[in-house]
Amino acid sequence: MWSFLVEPFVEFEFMRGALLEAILLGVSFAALGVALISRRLALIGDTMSHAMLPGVVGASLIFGPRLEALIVGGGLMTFILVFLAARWRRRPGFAADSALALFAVFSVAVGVLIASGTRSSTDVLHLLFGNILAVESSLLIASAVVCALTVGTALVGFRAFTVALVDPAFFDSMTSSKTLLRVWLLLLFAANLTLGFAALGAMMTVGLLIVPALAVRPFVGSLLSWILATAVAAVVVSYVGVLASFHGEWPSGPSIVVSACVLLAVGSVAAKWRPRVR
Amino acid sequence: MFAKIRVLGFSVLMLMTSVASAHVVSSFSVLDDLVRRILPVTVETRVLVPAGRDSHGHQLSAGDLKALKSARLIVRVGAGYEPWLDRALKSTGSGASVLLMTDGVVLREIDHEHTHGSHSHGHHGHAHAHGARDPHVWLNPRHVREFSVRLQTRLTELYPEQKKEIDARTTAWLAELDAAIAAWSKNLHDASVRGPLLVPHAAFGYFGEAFNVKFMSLTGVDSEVEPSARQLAKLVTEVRKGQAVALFHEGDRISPLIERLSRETGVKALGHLYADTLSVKSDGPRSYLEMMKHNVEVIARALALSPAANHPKN
Repeated sequence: MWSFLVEPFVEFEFMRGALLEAILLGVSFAALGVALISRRLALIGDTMSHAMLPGVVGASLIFGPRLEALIVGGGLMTFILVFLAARWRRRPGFAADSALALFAVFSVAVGVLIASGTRSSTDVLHLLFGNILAVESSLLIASAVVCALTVGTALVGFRAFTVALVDPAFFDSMTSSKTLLRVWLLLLFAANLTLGFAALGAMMTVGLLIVPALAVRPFVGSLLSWILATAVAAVVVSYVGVLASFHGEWPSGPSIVVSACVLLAVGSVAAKWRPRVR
Repeated sequence: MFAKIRVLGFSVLMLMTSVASAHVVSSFSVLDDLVRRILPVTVETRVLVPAGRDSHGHQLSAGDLKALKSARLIVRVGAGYEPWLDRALKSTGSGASVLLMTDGVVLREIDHEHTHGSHSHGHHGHAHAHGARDPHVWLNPRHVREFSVRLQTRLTELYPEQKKEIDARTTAWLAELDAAIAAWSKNLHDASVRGPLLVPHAAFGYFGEAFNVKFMSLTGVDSEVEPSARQLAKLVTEVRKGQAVALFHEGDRISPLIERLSRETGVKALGHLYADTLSVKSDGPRSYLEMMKHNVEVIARALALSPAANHPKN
């Protein structure tokens, strides 16, 4: 039992690195995932993975195809895009999703044009498909910092956060420093997604962002318990996923996401048999 | 996501590209270099996958398709190395003569003992098309020599009016290649340790065959795969036991997994080896001869370092 569940992590540093990175991301994603699902923006991560391209390509022209390029370029681009989309949304007839789709498509086109002009585009694009088994310590440190900032913000600003989710219009009228707050939240959002892409790859990031929050949803009453349960679920699926990748010989990123989906399936069956916690 | 980007890239490029028609089209940078050693400089050439890009799972531009359609000769590896080219040749209905580098070569079976990993990433939406044969024949320079002779024959058929120049260029090229092969063999001859050397993807089987060096790899012949945690763990254990004397990156890239293995085991990554593409760095190998010379030198240096010096635990 011990040798099955724990020993791989004792013996191999890359297993500890992968687990730690997945947990940091999962915990950091908890509040974010809950917020995105509440606001019906679950697919925004996918949009962003396209949208980051010109930022990543542009930055790698300066830094070379390195992690820094991904974080600086991708993060900046995500930030600009979400910011623009949020502003544009207030125009009549322009919902947030169409604004995002517009900017995402535009950025992909620009990104591909820039990439086709560079000579090592494959290297750049490899950056978008991270492998969690190969996380560098710099990525771990960055993830720990972003995780701490995100959790801290969620704790300190929990009331504002609740209001923003439940009644966005009231939130808009309530806070005086809302622009600053919004910029800060967007920065956190961009940082979280970028690190997710660097560690897990774009599609798998969306999985870890959304699925744990969906899985625990039938069992939670309040927003706070939802976020906490999501964080716990993320830790569990990270562990199960990395372990499954070890014993089942499966690629690690997809293993984590599939574990989360299995949890969701089990959860929805269980939810039918047990009365809801209210 | 990748597929979507490429579809979009394709349509954008379709609007932009207009190219002079090339007479000889090669599938990737190494072949292009070999072709241009023999082909008279007056004949136009085009390469589909330029240096710095990965030939596994490439997507063609409209300009490439146009070049394929009007080409007189298409030079490619075959053996499943360029599945994207099969589709393109069918769709363009190109009437060009096709020369396969793998023709007449007894292809190596992929050694499953040392090629860990067969799980497709799924990012690129194309099937794992290599089958069970290794197409990287050019890493054995003797195969390149045979191929050069076949290329000479085919070119003199297509360009009989330039036979004299083709023959002269081939003779010069073969002399240079033979001298290089002799030098490389000599360089690698004396090492008492013959590997195994750990590389990112299983491309070096023919190199090993030519120079009697053993290789192992993170993934199989397809470079777009991700090893599982178990496979990585097996490699870590093997490397710790001293079953790999050195690790290498591949192409101009730094492989994060190789870095990870190096940190985990204390065995150093001793440089970059080139297989699927020539370098785009100004100080990197930019022709076939430079690429092989570079590989030989990097490997000779790695083998010369005794395992005791390289392995902290022994």
